[in-house]
Order: sequence, then C-alpha cells, then structure tokens
Amino acid sequence: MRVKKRFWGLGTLGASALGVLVWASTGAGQEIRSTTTEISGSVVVYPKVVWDGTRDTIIQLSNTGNNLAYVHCFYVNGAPVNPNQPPGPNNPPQWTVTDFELVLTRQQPTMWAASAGRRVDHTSPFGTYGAGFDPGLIPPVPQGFTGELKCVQVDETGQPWPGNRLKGEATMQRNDGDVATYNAIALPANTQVLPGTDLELNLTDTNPGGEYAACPDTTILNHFADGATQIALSSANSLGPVGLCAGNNCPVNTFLTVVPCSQDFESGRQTTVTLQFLTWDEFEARLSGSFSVNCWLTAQLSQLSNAFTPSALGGSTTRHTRLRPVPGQGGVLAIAEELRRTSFSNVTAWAAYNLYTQGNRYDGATTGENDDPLPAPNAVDVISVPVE
Amino acid sequence: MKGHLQVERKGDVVMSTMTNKNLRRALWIGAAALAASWAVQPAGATIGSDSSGAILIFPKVIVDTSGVLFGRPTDTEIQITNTSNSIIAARCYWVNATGHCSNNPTTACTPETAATRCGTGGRCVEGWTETDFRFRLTKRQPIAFNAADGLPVFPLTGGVQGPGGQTNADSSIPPVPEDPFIGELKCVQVNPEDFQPTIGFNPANNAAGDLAGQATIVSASTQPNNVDARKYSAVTLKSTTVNDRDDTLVLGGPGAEYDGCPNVWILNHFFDDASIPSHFSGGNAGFAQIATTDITVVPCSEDFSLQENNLGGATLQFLIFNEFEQRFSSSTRFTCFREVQLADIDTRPGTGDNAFSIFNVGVQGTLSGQTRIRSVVGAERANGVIVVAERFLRSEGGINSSAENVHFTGTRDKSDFIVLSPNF
Repeated sequence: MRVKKRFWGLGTLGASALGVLVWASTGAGQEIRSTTTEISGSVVVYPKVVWDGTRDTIIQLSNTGNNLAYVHCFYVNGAPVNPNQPPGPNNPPQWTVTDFELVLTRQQPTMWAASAGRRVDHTSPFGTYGAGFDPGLIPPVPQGFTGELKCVQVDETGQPWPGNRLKGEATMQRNDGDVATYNAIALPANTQVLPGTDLELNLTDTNPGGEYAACPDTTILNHFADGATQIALSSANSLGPVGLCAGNNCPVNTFLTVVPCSQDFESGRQTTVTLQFLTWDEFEARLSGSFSVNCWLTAQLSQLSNAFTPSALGGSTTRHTRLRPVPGQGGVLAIAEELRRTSFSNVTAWAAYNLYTQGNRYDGATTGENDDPLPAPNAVDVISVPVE
Repeated sequence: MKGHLQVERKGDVVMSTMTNKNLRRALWIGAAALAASWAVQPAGATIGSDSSGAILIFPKVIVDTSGVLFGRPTDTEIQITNTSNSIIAARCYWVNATGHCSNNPTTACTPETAATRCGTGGRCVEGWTETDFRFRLTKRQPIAFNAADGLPVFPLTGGVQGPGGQTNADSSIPPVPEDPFIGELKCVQVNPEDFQPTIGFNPANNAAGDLAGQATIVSASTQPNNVDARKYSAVTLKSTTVNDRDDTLVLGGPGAEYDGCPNVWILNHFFDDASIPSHFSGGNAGFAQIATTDITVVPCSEDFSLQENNLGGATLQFLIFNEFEQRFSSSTRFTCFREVQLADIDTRPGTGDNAFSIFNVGVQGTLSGQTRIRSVVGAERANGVIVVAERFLRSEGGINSSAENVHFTGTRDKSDFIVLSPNF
C-alpha cells in the first residue's frame, strides 16, 4: 500500500465539508452495501463496450447529485493480441488501459459514442452530438476495441471519493439498427471512509466499516439453453405465422461477458478468476463445470461448456445457472446478451440484460446451500487506481 | 506537526496547513454530527431487479400477434426461476390494462391508436381486470413461456418428478385473457402447502424471497424481414422476514412485510427525436438513428380482492435535466397502468405536437437527459410506483428497441398495500 503525504488545504476541506452537507441534505443517505444495477454508486462498471466496425456503443453517464462530480474513467481493451485468431491461452487479451477525467455538474447527464469519444467543443450546434456542457475530453477507442469501461468518482484532486453519485447505461448499436441496452454496475462506497488509491471492495452488512461494496459471491443467470428454439417465434398461437422460424430454425444464443473485480491499473497486473457453475433445467436436472476469466471474457455459453447446450440435458429449453469463483479467489461482474436468430441468416436481434446476484465474496455468504461449494471467506477484491 | 490538522486517509497521511483551532474544531464537530446522522440511517433492504425477492413484478407484458396496436406482431416471453433449494409456490396475476373503444367495447385500442381504431366519437377507455393463477416450482427450477400461450402443462407433472421427488402439482399458467393485451404480471411467493404469503426459504439471502425473472418482448415482421427483442429483469420486492401470512401485503412503512417502493426513479434517456450518431470514422458518423423513449408505470398498491383498482394511481412529478444543467418539470396522472412516450407526457397522444414537448430534443438542445420521476404521496398510502423504460431507435431499416430497468433512490415513510384475491 502506497503511503504519501499531501496537503489538504482549508479550501479543500471546507468544500468537502460543504459537499458532504449538501449530499446529506438531499436525503439520499440510504446505505447500500452490495453491487447494484439500479442505484448510483462511486464506481460504475460497463463490462462490455464494443466498437468493431459492426457494433458501436453509446455510453451514458450521469451525476445524480446536486454538487459537482469528478470522475476518473478507464477504458480496458480486452481484445485478443492477435485479432485474427480466437482468444485463448496463446492469444490473451491485450489488457491495455486508457484513462481520462470528467467533471459533471449538478444532475448532469452526458453521453458519447465509443467510436468518437467527445471533444471539448463549445460550438456544437443546438440539438446535435456534443451539445451541452462538455464534461472533458473523452478519447475514441480504436476500431476493434472490445472491452470494459470503469469510472471512479474522485475529488477535485483526483483522489477517490465516496460520493455515490454515478449511474450509467450502455447501448450497443449495430450498423443495421439493432440495439441492446444494459445498466452499468455500480459499487456504492462507505461515505464515512475516505479511500486511498487502493479501493478495497469489502463493504458488507457484516463489515459496515469497509470501503466499497464487495463483489457478489454468486451470479445468477437465467437463460435459454444455448441454441434452443425461441418460444414465441416458433409458436402457432404467437409469432409463428409471421414465418421467421421455418422448420423451427430460430435459435436463441446467450453470450456472457465477465470482468474480474480486482484490477490493478497502477501496475498493469492482470487478474485471472476461475468460475465454477451449476446449471439446472426445467426438469431440475443439473450439470456443473468451470471456466477461467483472464482480465476480460465475452463468449457464447456453448463455447464455455457443452453443458449449456439443449442436448446436454435431454433437449430442455430453459436454464438457471449459478456462477461462483473458486474458493479463495475474488469476485466477478457480469452481463448477458441474447442473440435471437431467425431462419433468415441476416435477420437477428440482440437483447442485453443485467444479472441477479446473491451474497458477497467478502463474507462468502452463501452458506446453507447444500449443493454449492464451500464458501470462501474474506476474499477482498482491490481496484488500484493511479493518482498523480 | 503541532498546530496542523492531521487526518488519516487509508494509507495516506494528510495534513492541512490550517492552524485556526476554533475553525478546526467547528469543522470536526460538524463532521462528527454528520457521521452520527449517517450511522442511524437504515441499511440494506431495497427493492431491485438484480436479486431475488418475494414479490415479482413484470410491469409491461404485451401480446399483439396481429400487430394492430403496436405495429408489428408482438409477444412477451416470461422467465421465472426458483433460486432456492426448496420447493416454493406463487400466486400470480395477469393485470389486463388493455383499453377498449367507448363506442365499440370489443375493439382494443391505445391512446395513440384511438383515432384510427375507435373512429369519430369514440375514445379509448383503459381497462383493469385481473386473472389469477398459481404454480409450484421445485428446487432451483426455471420455467419459460410466452404470454400468448401461457404454460398449461408444467414440466414436472403427469408422473414426472425431479431428482428429489418434487413436482409441479397443481400448477398451470393460462394465456393472457385477450389478444391484443397490454398489462402487468405480478407474482407473490406463497407457502407451497397452503398458498398463503410467506417469507423466503433461502437463508443465503436472509429469507428475502426466492423468485427471479425476466421478460423479453419479441416483435417480428416480414415486410421487410425483421426481428426485434428487448429484455428487462422483473422488479423484486424483498421480504422483511416479518409476515402475518394474511392476504393484505404491507409494502414499506410501519409494519412492513415487504420492501417499500422507491421514493424517486431516475431515468437516463435520449431526448425524443434526437439523432443518435454512431460508427464514427474520421470524425464523421457512419450511422444515425432517431430515438424515442417510453416508460411504463404501475402502482405498488393494488386490490385484487375487489377486482378493481381502488388503491392504485397517483400524480407523477417529473424533473428533467439536460446537458446544460437546465431544469424543467412536468406532471401527469395515472390510475392503474400507464405506458407513454416521454414526449406525450406533456402533449397530446400521438406525434402531432411532440416537437413542443420538454422531452423533445428540439426544445432541450442536447441529446441526453436525466429525468427524476416522483409519485405524489397520498394521505393514506405511499402511492409508490414501479417503472421500466424502453428506448426505440428508428432508421431506414426500421424500428429497433431495447428495454432497461430504471434507477431509483430513497424510500417512503408510508406503506403501500397489495390485497390478494381470496385463496380458495
């Protein structure tokens, strides 16, 4: 842990005290001690941002508070080193990091396209891209970018600040118009602890003195078996007569995107987490397996394991999958996307969604579930943020 | 260091050059008072769409297999899962809010289609009727069905059992009562023995409840070939672990059996008719779509016993912020179910005068906005609401959409109530 001295001037202290007072006076003191997709936090994570020439991502980020919010953001490029080869142990993610800083005024929303970023340009015409208070220079990502965006609320000096005022959404747009939206995952912070540059994710109901909300212990993914026939599109009483599912050829595929909670932006060290999963179908049949996440992972479920295919459990269509890091390892954050195909190969639709969670890695809180692996107590994830 | 303020900031020694002891003392007294005020604030329990609960709410379910109301044939796929290791049960309600023409009660309509569907002299009268059903889910069991078909036969019935001998006996889900249909699905976790409300069975989530779910609204058309899907997670209300097991459910406030509904909903959105550019190359956008946003609002209080909406409804107050930090406000009233495009909140239904709405990009001047939605508290009830949002993006290729769960903040001192229909 780095220790350094710095002077906190009277103005800074006074402004911070005033900010705290304003924060308290808004009546938003509801304390949340878990990751969330619907409540603002001090760290927001967009697990999947893509600009590959076909899909681009529109980022929305808002300050939900009544005072200024300073933000330090990090793009993490998870594209494989060799983009022409499938990712794997011999073709790991680049894990290159690009950071930038923003300032959001009271209740200010802002947005940008990943492919363009956002310039500081006060001449943007009324009602066009870039109109409004520019929050700061946001760089574009290079074409071929597939990775993560993480934003940390900081104070005016750049030190992490537990303001709990950030919320966000990401909308992935395909060049034929298809869109899919998910909510950024927020990590609320303990407003009574000023964090250093190592953000410890250890705030739980049993550890109210922690800094930031601990990552979930179990991620719950409700999904269709990977490749199962779509229910509505194939039903004679529903959308079957439309004719997009000839011969029941209209499968739905689920893609999972996972990022480890621990990240070291200061040293550039990569984090690997091994996830164990249990998956049940509607007949209560169960399979299990595991896969590893090195820095960042996005994959179709059947690429991760054959257990997710319909044939693995006798042709069943729906699944309840529970994902959990192996004992001793830190947590992960995840989102899912469905790709709904039709019997016309060029007619497909994406839908993204956030996942349910249970327990936390700090407490290993899923004791009492007799078919889960033993809990791994006190796994503390840390996000190390560089501060000049 | 004497005479200097020194505070510990995890790993940092932070010093101030301030030497005025009185001012320093005042600041610390103030900080201590604030810290004390935080310390007494309640922790934890909130509603949510990212953890399982004892009440499961799908605010928007639509079925329109002929495409007469929503432009394209549309159905909703529902996924519901038991996240616990125990057999559980649920009592559920299709809430039919489909409107019908005042001059032709057999013709379904929406406020936007009233002119064409109802003709001269007719208006669209919103409905509110419920159809209830019940089912059991075995350990960890997921189910999926589309609203137009329901799920008349469950997987573990007719002699089929799960590995532990559990079954879905006495379980059936009817299709929605009419097509077209627009409305809500609400499920309450109950004891699988007597079907009375209960707390959750899973100690791993503090008995907050074991139901989880998603809804996917799927549209399809062939002129041109197009499929569209938007998915949101069901909103769950968690059990407080206090439950008197009667049919009147207390949400928040004194004697709460379940989480209270939020105080304020916070929606990030594009302003209506904004052109959202993307796929930039060399500083030029390669693609753009015109955005609109719909919200669906349902009341937290509902009376399924009297089969009428005598509890729901509220005035909704909107605060809108654009990217210039400029603030606007508006309000509207709803009774049992409201699905509305943002620009129609302060203008007439339809597109005719949307350009004059404060939700329109031509009024606001920036592409994105943040809207805070607050239902006005009633004299006897909290009048809480549940909100989901959908964004529609139009291009030459057609209309595509996505759905999202809306952020929220705060709770209310008063309660909402759900009165279940009799448990025969």
